Amino acid sequence: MSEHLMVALGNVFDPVNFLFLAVGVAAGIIVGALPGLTATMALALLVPFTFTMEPGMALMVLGGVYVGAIYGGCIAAILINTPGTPSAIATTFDGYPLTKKGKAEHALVTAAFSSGIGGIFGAIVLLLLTPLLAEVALKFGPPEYFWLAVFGLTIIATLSTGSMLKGLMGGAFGVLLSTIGIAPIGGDMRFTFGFHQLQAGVELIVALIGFFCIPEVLLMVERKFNRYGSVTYKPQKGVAKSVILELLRKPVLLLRSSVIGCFVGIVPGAGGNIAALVSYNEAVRFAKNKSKFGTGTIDGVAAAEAANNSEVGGSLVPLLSLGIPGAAPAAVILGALMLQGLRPGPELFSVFGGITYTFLISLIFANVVMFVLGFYGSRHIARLINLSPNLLAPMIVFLTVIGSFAIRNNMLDVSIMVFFGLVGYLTKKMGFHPGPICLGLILGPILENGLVQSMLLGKATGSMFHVFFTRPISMVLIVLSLVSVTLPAIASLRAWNQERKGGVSTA
Amino acid sequence: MSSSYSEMGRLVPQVAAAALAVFSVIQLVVAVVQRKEERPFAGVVVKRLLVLAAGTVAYIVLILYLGFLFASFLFLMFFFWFLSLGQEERPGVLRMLLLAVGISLGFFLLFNNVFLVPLPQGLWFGG
Repeated sequence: MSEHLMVALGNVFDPVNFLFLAVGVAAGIIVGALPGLTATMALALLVPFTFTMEPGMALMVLGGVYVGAIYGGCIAAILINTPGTPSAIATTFDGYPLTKKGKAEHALVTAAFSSGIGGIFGAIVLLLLTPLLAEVALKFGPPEYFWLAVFGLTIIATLSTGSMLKGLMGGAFGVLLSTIGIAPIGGDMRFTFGFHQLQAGVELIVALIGFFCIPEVLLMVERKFNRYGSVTYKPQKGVAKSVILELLRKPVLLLRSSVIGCFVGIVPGAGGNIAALVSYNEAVRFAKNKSKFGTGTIDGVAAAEAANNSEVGGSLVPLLSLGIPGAAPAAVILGALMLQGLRPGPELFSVFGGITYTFLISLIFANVVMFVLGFYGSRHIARLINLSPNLLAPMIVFLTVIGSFAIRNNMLDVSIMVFFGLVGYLTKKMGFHPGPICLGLILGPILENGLVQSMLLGKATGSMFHVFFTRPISMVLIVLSLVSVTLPAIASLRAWNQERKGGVSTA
Repeated sequence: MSSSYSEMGRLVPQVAAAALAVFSVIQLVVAVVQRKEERPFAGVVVKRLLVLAAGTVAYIVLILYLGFLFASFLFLMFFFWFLSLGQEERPGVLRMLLLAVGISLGFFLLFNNVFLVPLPQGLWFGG
């Protein structure tokens, strides 16, 4: 490990690499700051710019984009009460009231500082925890991978926004999409409809660009409006120092929020928005003076921002060790890894240790860069929020086309991307979010390899039951899957019963 | 689904399709029982939506014939203009033109010459 760390430190401190990291962070902050453009979108749109780079450098840039975009969401949240990314929703609760009081600078400095602290905490947890979890993955055989995929699918379904049933349907649809192409065992050519380009299956990044970018663009233009709101904010001198000193006197708040953010990040399917909301609630619960929350206190901003940036590191823990993204943006990182020929799991920490540790260590520094850029640059970035969605929408479509083409120099990929995008918009309007569909697409191959190989194993040993239901790690995963499906089902049944008893007022 | 796939090749597609069918039926029953009136497309300006969706499809076809550079310029210019129609604050035509030329040409050069990704030249231009 130590030799990998030396290689990694050398890579991170290479001036050219570091410059690219900073460019990635800046690009992330800008995209994140624009309302309607999510962190997932920032990554999906920018992956095509990185795949001609060396793997280490490409991952540094993308890590920077991820960190920057999650932070960038706070700027619009604070200044115009519109979260720039979904994970900044909780930041509006106290951030915007601060702006109304004329204390926008207080909120922005708090956000930059606590994002930096949370982000560094998450990155350190990622660095320490992932190699250990990857070791556990060494003990996984086909049945364990099968149950892991089942667990991943159930949990995304339950945690996804809106209805659990729709989440499960999305997951099943995603798994179905993942079976396009040559079957892993048996070699059948499935659902290719005569297109030889489909033999290798649907390219993950192409699907992610379609599902996460086009629907957002259509949502931007479906209504007639010029801009989100105009930003008027004047910087104040001397605020930064006093705010940072005040935050330093609240280590428990920052630490608790970071821990919550990181933990929520590790759970597959729960993204930065959930991390920040949970952390905000806990901050209110532990506060002595609860009434100040929601009226503009820096504590609320700090709780939300430390959590959503800590979630970045957390969401990459299950991704790098097991191949299961902890949040939607992490799914794009998975796509980027696979484009570079890297597969999540123990190999990342042995054979490709140099690249992996470069990525992990660069994330820590990305947070430092993010703090500096956020601290000095947020007033300039704030002006971009005034950019009209009517100009932005065509530009994003343009970027999705160029990006989906460039991955395999293939116009069919562009058509597939647009098709998924239109499907994604319609399903999103019906309450099916793209998250579960894309997780199904990612988990499909893990599920299929695990299931088919386990069945062959069962046939060979003569006992299917033994293969699927007696191994200890499998049992744990089965129990977890059952819990993650039954708990929300009971909760929603109870809510529905209460609704019926309470009359038809909400129907 | 074709039954010509091998036993192991059709297992997961069948299971996933069956799961999708079962969940869909449950969803249908739940929706009928709950009778919630949902209007997901309320307030949507259909014209803007449909023109952008159709325009995006047309853009792909145009790339095949006119090449990436020219098709992108046309797409950007048209939608900068179309989406700003009837808005209170409209960017000037010159600004739209500069943006459309700058973006399409800038990215074309970046991908063609720096990333060495050959972008489509278009059938009409011998690509």
